[in-house]
Amino acid sequence: MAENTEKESANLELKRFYDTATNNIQTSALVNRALADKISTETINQKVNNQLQSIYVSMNRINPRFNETSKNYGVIKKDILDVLTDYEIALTELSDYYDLKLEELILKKVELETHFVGKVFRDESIKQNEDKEMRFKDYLKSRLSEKSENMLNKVSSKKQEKSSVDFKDIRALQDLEDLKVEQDNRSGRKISNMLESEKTNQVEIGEIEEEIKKIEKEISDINDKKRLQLEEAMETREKWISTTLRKPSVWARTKTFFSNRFSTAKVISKTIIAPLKMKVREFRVNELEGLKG
Amino acid sequence: MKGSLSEFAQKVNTTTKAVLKSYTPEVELALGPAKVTLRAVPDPKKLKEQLQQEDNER
Repeated sequence: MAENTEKESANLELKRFYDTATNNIQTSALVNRALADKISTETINQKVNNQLQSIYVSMNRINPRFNETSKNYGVIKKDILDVLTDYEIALTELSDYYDLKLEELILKKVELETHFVGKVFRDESIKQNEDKEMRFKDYLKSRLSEKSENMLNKVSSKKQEKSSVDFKDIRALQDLEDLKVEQDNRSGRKISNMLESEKTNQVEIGEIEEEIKKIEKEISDINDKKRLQLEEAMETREKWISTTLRKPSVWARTKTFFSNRFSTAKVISKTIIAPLKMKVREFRVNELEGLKG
Repeated sequence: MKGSLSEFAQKVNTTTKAVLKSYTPEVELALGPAKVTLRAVPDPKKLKEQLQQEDNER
């Protein structure tokens, strides 16, 4: 009775472990994936906002009076939106490249963690089988011993009575002894195999744990690399200072002033929008294509 | 092209089920008469809390 209660409570514990473990595996995978998305979204939004601020500052420097009421403002606004959308799409493509790798790793981790749960149950079932086999071995041994004792007593009593001993009884006694030895060996082999399986299972569990740790590190590294790559994407890399500086001529300064005031849209298009479009194009050709292989 | 979070949740569920299927005899033996069912995608509220925790740790 007590044994049954103990077994029931052990089963319930295992069920609880099963439910908790499988739930954790799934939740952890979703959290990892959501985190990867969050890093991408935050970094990309930051860069796009920074770029937008940079554009506004540059426009203000060219002509502080350029606003909604100015000529060609609508055209410039549309061009800025287009180039920023393109900029954002290029960054999203870069983050998607890393996010797909992350997804593969997270699914691999899910697979390994589930194998881990399976192998824990395998370990438990091997132990249960071992237990069963040991109990069966003991039961069989005691039954056979009982039978051979009975047989021996029968032969002994016949001998004491000085009556003839049946050869069949002697043979039956011999068979019982042989059976005992054979059962012992068989059980021994079975239990030995189970112990071997248990050992192998334990080794495999250890290997899975190592593999999971490696994948967790790789996920973390890729997230960091992705963030860095996104932050550095399409930034001005070459920073150099001209060693021969000449002050612009008066004529050049006047020309710039009037050009900024009366052809603001053209200047913005030429000095802000076009270079940014070029940057996005070069990024796609040089870096994105290189990544995709 | 990257899929949505719910598409990914489906992939996770499929993977878990496929792997656990190969351990069905052991699971049934170990659990005895207790029924075993694999739960679907976890509660979004709980997921949100866990995300917040991860964020704070970061």
